[in-house]
Amino acid sequence: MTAVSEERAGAGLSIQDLHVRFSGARVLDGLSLAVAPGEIVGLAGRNGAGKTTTLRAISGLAARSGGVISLDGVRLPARPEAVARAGVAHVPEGRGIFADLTVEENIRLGIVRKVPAERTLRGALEEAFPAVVRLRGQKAGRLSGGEQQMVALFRGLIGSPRVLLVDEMSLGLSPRALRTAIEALAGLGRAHGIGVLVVDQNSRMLHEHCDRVHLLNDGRVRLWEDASDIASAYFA
Amino acid sequence: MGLALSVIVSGIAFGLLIGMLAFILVFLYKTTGVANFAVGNIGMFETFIVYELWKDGMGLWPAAGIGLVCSAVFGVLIYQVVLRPFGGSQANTLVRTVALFLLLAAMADVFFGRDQPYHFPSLLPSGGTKVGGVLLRWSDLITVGIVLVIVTGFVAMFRYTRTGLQFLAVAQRPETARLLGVRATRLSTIAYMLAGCLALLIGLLLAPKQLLFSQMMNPILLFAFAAAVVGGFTSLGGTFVGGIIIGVATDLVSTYLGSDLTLASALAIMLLTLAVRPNGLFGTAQVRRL
Repeated sequence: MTAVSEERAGAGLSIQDLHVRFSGARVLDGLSLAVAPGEIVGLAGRNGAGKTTTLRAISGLAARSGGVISLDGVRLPARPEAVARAGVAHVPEGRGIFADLTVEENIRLGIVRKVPAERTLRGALEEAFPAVVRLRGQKAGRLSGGEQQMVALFRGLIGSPRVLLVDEMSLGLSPRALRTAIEALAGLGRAHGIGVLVVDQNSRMLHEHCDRVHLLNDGRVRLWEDASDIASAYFA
Repeated sequence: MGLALSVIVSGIAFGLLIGMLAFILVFLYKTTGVANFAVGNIGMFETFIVYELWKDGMGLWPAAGIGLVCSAVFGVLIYQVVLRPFGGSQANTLVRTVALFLLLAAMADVFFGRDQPYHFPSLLPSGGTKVGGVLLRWSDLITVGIVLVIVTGFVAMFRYTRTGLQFLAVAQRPETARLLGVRATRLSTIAYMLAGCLALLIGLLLAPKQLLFSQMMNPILLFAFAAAVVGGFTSLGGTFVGGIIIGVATDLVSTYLGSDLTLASALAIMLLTLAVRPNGLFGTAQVRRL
């Protein structure tokens, strides 16, 4: 009984008291956040508030000066490649598409570890992002921004991660494409028990589609419950 | 005319050797972030090992086989012992490769005697055949064949294996590759292992033509640098095109204008290419769209 509840408490991604400094300046100062399996969580904040840094600290691309980040109750390693193998996928700022490789090759690189669920997941992804299937043989650099974003999301999910981190979700997407993409993301996450942490400046979109939205300010987060309260959220 | 054609054929064979060395430089540059100019001397040192085994009475082919295994180990050791530790910036690593370059030349002088240069036996058959008045040497033809096999192998690796795809990923976006679980250290180790083997191959093909001594790789290293620049320093395929251009041109120059001008002609081609196409012949092939 105790074991079960402990497991439940630790399931998914958990960040406690995260500190990150860049040459002395405190960028993140005691940030705590959790993403449960199947949950989609939004992280909003001003330019330069540290949204990207939060994701980079989780992935190990930014060095942390304090705090504990764990996945399913196990501490995450420090090196990015080890974090990825532990089950954290990261769609980075600017999407991280390999322009000289084909769409299919980009996606193959997302299969970080062999998982039995790969085939069912691939089917679901192909249904959610039909454009990616159509563009399979194209060089990824020739795709439009929106198409590249689809490829990046597809690549992030194909490895069946426990948690997917998405930086600047709305970048380059038309409002309609954004809606399709985030609905697909939320649906797939729920169906396959993948936690999703979405960073964006578009707080209205986050409130509309996420289970919870947090606001990052002064290196910490607080729950942002009232979607209409934009002024006090940003200028408090 | 027959002479010119013969010179061009042997120039292509020599050019492919240059191209192979240029390929190693660019391959290491793209996968590990540093163009290691010590690879020339790594090949020289490995060729000396094969020479010592052969001199002690071993057959040339078994000696070359053992040399190949040693080269793979040697490549791994160089990466793991000399380059990977101390981390540091790219400039730091670059300086260490220069030190390695000098150290290997000095060590070859100490270990392998001061009566250099040595005659090195050829693995390839001598003689040749005449096709329409053009002399084709067996050794040149076999060299072309060997390089083609190696290039095909690399293309197949990049296209069909997971490791090959990861090489391309690291070369394009090292940070994103790590986010996708690519272990850069492991890939760099494999890259140096392959580089060690290819460097020995260059040494074994070159030594019979021009004697074995500690400075034997210096001219071809400069040619390879010129070839890599002509091909566009980031293009893997361009290195062989650059190599053939440099190989044929320098062979023609040394035949008709005298061997004093070979190095100057290679560098002239490099500067001319940079003046006309600052990114080299294939350096702009990268597609980019925002």
